[in-house]
Amino acid sequence: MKQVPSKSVSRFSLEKLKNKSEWLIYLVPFAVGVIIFTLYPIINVFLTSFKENFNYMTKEFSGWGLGNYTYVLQDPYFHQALKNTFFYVFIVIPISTCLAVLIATLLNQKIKFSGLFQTAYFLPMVTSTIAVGLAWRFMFNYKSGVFNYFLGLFGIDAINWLQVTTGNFPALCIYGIWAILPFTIILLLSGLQNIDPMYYTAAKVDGAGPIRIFFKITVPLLMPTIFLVMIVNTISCFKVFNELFPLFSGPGVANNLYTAVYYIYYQFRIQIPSRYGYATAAAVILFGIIFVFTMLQRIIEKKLKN
Amino acid sequence: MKNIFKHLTIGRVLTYFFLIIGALIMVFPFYWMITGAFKTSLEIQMFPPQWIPSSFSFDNFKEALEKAPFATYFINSVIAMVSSVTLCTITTILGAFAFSKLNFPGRHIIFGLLLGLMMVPFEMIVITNYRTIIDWGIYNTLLALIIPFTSSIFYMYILKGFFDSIPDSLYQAARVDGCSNWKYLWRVMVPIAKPSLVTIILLNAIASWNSFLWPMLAVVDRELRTLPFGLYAFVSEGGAKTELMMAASTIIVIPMIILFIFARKQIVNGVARGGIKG
Amino acid sequence: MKVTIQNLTKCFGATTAVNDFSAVIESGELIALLGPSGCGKSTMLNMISGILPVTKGKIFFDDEDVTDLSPEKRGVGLVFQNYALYPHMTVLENICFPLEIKKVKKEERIARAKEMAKLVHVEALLDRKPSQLSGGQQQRVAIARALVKHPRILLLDEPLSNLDARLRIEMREEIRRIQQETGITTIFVTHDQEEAMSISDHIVLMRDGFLQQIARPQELYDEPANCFVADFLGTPPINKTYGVVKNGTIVLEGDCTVALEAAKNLDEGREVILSMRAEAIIVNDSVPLAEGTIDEVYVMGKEVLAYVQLGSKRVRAYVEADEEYGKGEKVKIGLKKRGVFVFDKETGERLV
Repeated sequence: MKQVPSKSVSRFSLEKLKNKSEWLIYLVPFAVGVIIFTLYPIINVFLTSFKENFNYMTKEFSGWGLGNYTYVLQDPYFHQALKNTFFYVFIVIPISTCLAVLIATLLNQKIKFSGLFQTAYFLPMVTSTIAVGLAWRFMFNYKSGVFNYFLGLFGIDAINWLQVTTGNFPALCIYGIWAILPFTIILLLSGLQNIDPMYYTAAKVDGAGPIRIFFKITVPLLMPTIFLVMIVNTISCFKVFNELFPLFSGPGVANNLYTAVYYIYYQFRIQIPSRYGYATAAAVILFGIIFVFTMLQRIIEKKLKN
Repeated sequence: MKNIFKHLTIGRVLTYFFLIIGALIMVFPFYWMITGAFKTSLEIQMFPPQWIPSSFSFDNFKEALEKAPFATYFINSVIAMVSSVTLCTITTILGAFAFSKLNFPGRHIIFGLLLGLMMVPFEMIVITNYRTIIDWGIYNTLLALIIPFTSSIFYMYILKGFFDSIPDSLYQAARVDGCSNWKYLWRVMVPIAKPSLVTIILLNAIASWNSFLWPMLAVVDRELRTLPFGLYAFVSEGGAKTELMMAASTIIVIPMIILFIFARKQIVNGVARGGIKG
Repeated sequence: MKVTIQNLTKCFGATTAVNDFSAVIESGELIALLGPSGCGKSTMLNMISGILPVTKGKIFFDDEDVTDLSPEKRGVGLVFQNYALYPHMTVLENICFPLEIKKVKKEERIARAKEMAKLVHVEALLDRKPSQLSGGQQQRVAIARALVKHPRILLLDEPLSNLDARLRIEMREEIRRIQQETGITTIFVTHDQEEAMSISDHIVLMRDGFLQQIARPQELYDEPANCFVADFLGTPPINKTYGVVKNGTIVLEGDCTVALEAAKNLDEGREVILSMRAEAIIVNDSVPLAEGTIDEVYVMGKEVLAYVQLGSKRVRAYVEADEEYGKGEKVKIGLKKRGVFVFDKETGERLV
């Protein structure tokens, strides 16, 4: 039996385009932007990272080599940037994920005013990091901030969140968790909505209480989504940068809050003349880290689809 | 029976209790920002804090607008947002149509390559783009805020997914009637894809409005700044007073809050479907 | 519009979907393209519409060679299996759309669309969106949209397969009515023999890309050209037995001799297929041709279906409702002339 391939109809109708190059009209406007502002920059960054003594203005360089990488990898500031970034990820991701699972589960109940609740929980996602960050700076104020006021209510001494190295890392994390929650909750919520309510009914019939249902049904079934969200968030946490400006007007007190992206920014923009080579080498290293996590994400996404 | 019912009610009460507490924490920074914008310099430094400002005068807004050209920043933000979103939406529609419905050599390979490019962090691309706009002589112009954002792989990817779901029989039906590709795209595909397009436009507009790193790199002149960069410069250059900072922040945040209240469903659906850019 | 198809062939890479197909479809007829799924009937339809280019052969509309014309230049109306209505347009806008492309003036297009809507009985639904219509209504709109530009022929791809059983009967009569009112040459694709039998003037039966037979429905049933045609048509399916010609009779597997009159003209020792429709088998006939054993009897309302062991095969036969048979009872089997066919075992060619 000769089975006709089912997709054949569309394939062949497209073949017969009146004008064989008609597709160019559709593709070119899109492709031009992508090639100039995405593809070329990537290639350029890779190439530049291997150019020794690259001069940003004249584009001259002394030769090819790994000089930029050896410099960056030995730079204590870069070590600090990586350390901070990793610490930031390790603190923000677990806490935000746990909170988000809890909130998403609550939001997934049949509740009144769910629109109002969603608005409240998701608002940080659409508002400017800079503007809201300034509000947080105000809240973290040592003398008149609400944070220290609330701590005082519990008898805890005021913390100097912004001007002391021991204070500003926790401040950055607290803000980071708050800012990442909406996105996390949304993804988890859509994961929850994909769980067949049949399981809940079955568990209730078996006499399971809400807490047991949460740990024995909801969390295991949500696990793939939780993993996915953690990886996506890890990638975005690796790029922590904007938050530094409204809170600390830079990388914290005594430069203790260098992050990977800030390091790139510093080498490339703050340094005069620009140390373009170091910036590109650091960018390639950051890309390498993100690449690993993206691959993980793709694998999990594939598993989710099956 | 009664016992179960009672248990349920306690569960409900706890659910609402936690949700309300959480919601209050989440919106508190906004409350603090907006009320702070109405406080006097004295009130804002009070400890314990003053929860409600004593008067709702717009003096702080007036003063902030006098100290820095926020009106200009606002207009710049609007220009950059409207132009880049408009151009990007057009190239996205065309590109998504090409990848979804047209047949050209290497289509699948190119699309796979684009998916690979999508994971490259913006922060890495920025280094070269900065140099490009200098070479093109558009550094420190509004064009520099628009040109690099005229096409987006991410939004094209989302829209292509939607286009793929439109059955090919519609295309054939139109072709049998003599409908050109161009007309089919604008008369059939685009109207059907409207919900997806709205989502893309909203996500893009939000991202553009809030963008900070690129405007900070691409322009220096005061009258070319966009809101987030202008606000930051206002704070870092002038050592501005807190109540003025809050007033200026409120100006930036309010349009997006209003947008979110009206288009919450589209935005949330878009984020849930495609994740967010960045 | 007469449609002439000459030696049409369509290949998809290595597979041949339609193979050297020739047929003539007379003007004003309703034609069913019938065959099992994957037989190439939809490919045929798409080549006639112009959506698919042909690999070899020619298609004529009357005397005009349309083989290389693009779909819109052929003047065909096409109705898709899933109707392919534009979801964002109202019924009226959907019907108007083909005219809009042809740049017909707005008043005229609305007038013509309304006329079509009346023809297919959807004039009350003009402002609705497709999602607000039932399957049958969507089908009607799709037909109206296909007819509004006054096509030379109307093509329908599995027009009824998305409808439930009751609507299907209603819609097929509607298709017949609309076709007769407009007098348009119509070709529809179906895999349902009953659908094809009930409304079409001629049936084109296909298998594996090859034309099997073109005939009027009753002719196809009574005079199948080959074993496949006989197998494909009829409910219950035709009884198919295998045997060898011996001494002017057919000896079936399991050593059952059938003294078929017509077998006398067949070559001795030829391997054949003896196919008998259930209604052609007479149990306890006065002129018995063979002997069988009653296996099972099912009473099904107005008729009684008996399973009779004939050699090693079990065959179905209709028996009189007032006669009673016990299991294992020996019966004499007669055969009517109509509904009994002998085919060559190898080629499936009709011999008798």
